[in-house]
Amino acid sequence: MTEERSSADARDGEDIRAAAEGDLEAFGRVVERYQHVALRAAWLVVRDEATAQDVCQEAFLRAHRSLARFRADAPFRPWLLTIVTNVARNTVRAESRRGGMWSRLTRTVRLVQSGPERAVERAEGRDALLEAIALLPGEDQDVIHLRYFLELPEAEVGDALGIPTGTAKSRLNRARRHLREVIAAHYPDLVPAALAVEDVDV
Amino acid sequence: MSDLDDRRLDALLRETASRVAYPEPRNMRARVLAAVADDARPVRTASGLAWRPALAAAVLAAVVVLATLLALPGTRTAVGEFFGIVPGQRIELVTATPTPTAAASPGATGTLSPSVSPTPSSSPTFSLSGVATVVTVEQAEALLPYPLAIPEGAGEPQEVWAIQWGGQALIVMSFADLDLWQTRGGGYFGKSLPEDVALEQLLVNGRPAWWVGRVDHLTSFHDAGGNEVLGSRRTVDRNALIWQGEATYYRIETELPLDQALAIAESLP
Repeated sequence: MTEERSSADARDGEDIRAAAEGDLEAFGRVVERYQHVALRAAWLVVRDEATAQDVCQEAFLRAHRSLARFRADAPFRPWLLTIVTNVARNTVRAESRRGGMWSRLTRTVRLVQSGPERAVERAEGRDALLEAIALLPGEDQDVIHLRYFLELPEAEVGDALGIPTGTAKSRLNRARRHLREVIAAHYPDLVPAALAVEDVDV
Repeated sequence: MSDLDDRRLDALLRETASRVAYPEPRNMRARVLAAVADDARPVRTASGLAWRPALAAAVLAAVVVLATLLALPGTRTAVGEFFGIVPGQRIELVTATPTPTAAASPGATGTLSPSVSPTPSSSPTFSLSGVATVVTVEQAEALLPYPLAIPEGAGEPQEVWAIQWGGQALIVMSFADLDLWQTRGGGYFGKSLPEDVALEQLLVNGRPAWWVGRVDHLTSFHDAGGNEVLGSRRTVDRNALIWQGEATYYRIETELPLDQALAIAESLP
């Protein structure tokens, strides 16, 4: 764990203890500290900005309700992200029963196109990869989102999933294997994109 | 396809992740604090429980109906029908269980701690403190005349609780992501559901089960005569999966999504 992370955890511990005793300002600081990563986690599941904002708010609310059960010495971020992901998945399930959100999960997502050349092709490749990830089982999606899109270290991925770090690594390997299978079956054009990325960035 | 090895896929994932245009939080701090403040405003009820306003409004009507029906012996099926459950199914599938094989009298019920948690909580630590005892796994196994079921994929139990009266024991095992309840016997675990809740019927190892998606609801223990065990009422605000295994009644309370809860449930006999 980095010094920066330790410092954040120490601040979390103080604020969470205060929040559990009714200090709203302390909980407000926790919200400010984690709102971006929480919103990202929500958006990765629901793929709709307004819904992600609602999911994020609800997840913080549930976290606040459960503060008394949270171990102050445990890292807060993976615990919060577990709640966010669960709320988001429940929202998707409820929406899909009403026929609303499921279609959004497979729609093309809007991405920043920062590269001047091949921007369209690269964006299409990213869209396809996100679509491919959305076809994976929820467990695979979770571990890929946590590791790559939320950039959690493997130990925190394990914390967020409630599994040991070694198991998190195994699950990540399995998710990547499944993703390769999905790409092979549905998005074969992604292979050149992957090779191009390697040529440029690796 | 063989060219897309782990290293290249890893690079593609990192590159993709770095370019996603995520939304920015919109007034999140204020929204959350307003919701927290609203959530914490208590409403004192006649029973002494402090309920959140929305929950109280949603469940009161259901409480009256359910309590009335449960108070009448032989109305389990009727309650099941009331909640849209397959006629003829035992109410334990809507509720869950504990209680004595020897019918507990109101007097016997009253011998349990009369304390009621002033703050609703889904945690056994708080809500069951008046009626449950912390035990080890070994002690829990000794209490049961049948094998204690331990799920796969849930990790090690962090806490184990036992609730006993009459000749029946209810074991609650608290894991990192879920609480598992298990018992065999004839008692009731009363559940008061908000009016708009949708019960999802499904199968666990081919046996009927019910999934109550996350919705605040009240639960309480009832003896075989329909008497509520004092101190047993609590609020659950997590998902609940309820089913009967080969011989044991189970209940899982969790924030996990249905597919993960189901996978754990199906590891139980």
